[in-house]
Amino acid sequence: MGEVSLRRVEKLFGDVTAVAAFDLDVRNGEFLALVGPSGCGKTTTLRMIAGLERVSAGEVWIAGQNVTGLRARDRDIAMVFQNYALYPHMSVRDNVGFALRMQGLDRAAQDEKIAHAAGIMGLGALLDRLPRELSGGQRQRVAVCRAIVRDPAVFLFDEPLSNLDAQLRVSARAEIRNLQSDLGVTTVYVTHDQVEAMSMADRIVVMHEGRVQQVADPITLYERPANTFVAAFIGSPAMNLKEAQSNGAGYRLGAAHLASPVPGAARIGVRPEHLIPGEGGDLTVAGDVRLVETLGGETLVHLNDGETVWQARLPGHPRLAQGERLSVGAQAEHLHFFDGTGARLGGAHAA
Amino acid sequence: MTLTRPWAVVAHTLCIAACLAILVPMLLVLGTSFKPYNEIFSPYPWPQNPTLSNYVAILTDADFLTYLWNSAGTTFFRVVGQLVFSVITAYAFARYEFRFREPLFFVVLGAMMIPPQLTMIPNYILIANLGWFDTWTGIIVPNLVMPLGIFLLRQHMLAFPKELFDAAEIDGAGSLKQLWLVLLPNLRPALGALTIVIFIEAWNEYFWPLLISESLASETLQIGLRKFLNEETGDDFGRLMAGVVLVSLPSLAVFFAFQRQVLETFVSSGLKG
Repeated sequence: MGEVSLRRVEKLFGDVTAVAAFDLDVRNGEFLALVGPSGCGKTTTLRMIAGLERVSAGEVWIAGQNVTGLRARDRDIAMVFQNYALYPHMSVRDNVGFALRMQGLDRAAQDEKIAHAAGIMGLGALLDRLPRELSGGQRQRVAVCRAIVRDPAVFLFDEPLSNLDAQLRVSARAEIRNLQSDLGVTTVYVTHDQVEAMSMADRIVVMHEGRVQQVADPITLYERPANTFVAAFIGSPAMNLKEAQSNGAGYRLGAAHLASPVPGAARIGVRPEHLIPGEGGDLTVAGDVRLVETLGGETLVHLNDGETVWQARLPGHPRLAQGERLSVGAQAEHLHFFDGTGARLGGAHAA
Repeated sequence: MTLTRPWAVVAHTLCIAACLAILVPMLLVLGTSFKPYNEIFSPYPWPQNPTLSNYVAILTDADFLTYLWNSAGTTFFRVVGQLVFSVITAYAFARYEFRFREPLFFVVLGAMMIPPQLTMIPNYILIANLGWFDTWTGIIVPNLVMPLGIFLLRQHMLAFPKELFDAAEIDGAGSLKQLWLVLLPNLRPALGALTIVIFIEAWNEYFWPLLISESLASETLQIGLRKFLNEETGDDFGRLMAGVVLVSLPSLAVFFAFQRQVLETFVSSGLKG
């Protein structure tokens, strides 16, 4: 069916390596997200899967077939673009039906498929409109509709929600995820928004500077980041990552002390929600409240221990004034240890 | 930017003066074309006894109809040819990476800067050697490719969103279908503007047909009108002006037809998908 495999795929632009030695297997029916900051190579990777970009080395396989030398139109894929790429001069019906027309389907068969896909996306009433007569959300649905009408082996999404407002993005997220699991089509989804990736994907590939940093399901990624880049990139607000200075009995992190069982750590991290008020933890941070951000159900507190600033996510609405003294602590099992190269060390939660 | 009142007055005065400089000769031509023979040199710009006799005479003149046929035919092929060559050449320059693309485009730009008077003689010799002297082919072929059209369309194509080509490629459209079904429908304003320019240039062309035409086989209207200026039988200004008016009409028609489309497309478009 729709497995996608990348085998040592590389992309060079002149002397610049955009994507380096990329190995990946996407299972049939899986929803895989490629996530990373701008310029990390995620869109280039997606375009190489699509056949819009040639690979400099390596092979791309789709549905058990080596498609490295095939053109995009021969790969049985459908793609949704960031700016939707709807043909401005065609009605919604013609946009959705364009691929069917290219396949040489007769008009009746086209109409039937268009009506079916439009029904799924709730676009039945808009079929005769032009793209410019649609709202951003509607255009996005047309773009998705154009992808599903062809019944392809693989869906490719290139940041399809980044032009929508925040509220619409949340509902579109759920909609795409539901649609994908209903249709069971293998999906590769590119986004720079880690929340989008975490909430939608079965597995996530975190990329940085053209290299894969970690491939894992969202929970593993969150709880056992493979290196400091993943640790800092995944999670919002970001993990507290502090330089660790070994002092014989343990480590100094800012002004805090940690009696640690893990030797050789250069940086140690703790997620904001794992810092809880009180002094009983294995790591205790005492400092002055510098800023209090109310997030709704919880509160983000910036705590200055005299040397560095920590972020703690506290439940509810604790009454804290700026400058107030506060102690928070974390259990050893919630600490993440990284060596001098940034790679994860053993220790709590790490195997 | 808004002008202060005194400057606005100056600017409007200049504009009106420029309009008059263009309109007055045209009105004189129009007026003269309706004058009977004995009023041609009267001091009034308008005929005292308007007549259609000049128009009737010219439209029943078999030579005039031949000139019209020659003009219409050569212009048609020049417009179609230039549009086709401009579109496909600009598409290649805008869309594909190939060796020597930049130097070649530079050559195209360079060709735009060579005055036609420079290439006239070599072209003339070439056409004569090819046996195309005094033929439609001789008028059409040297004018089939126009650097300005290539340049203009290339710029528009470069501004066209690349994702639409990508989307069409994924949807299964090959290069020519992408050009025909996706790109060209969205280039209507540019094609409209280019058609106006090419048509007017081809229709009004004087110098080249003057060089290589010598008979009714290929003489165009612009050349044919000269026969009303005759040293032996006297200048027939009435018919000449009627001819000038008739010859101007197609240019005006094309201009208004395509200008409206150009404006409409500009107003209602926006390529944002």
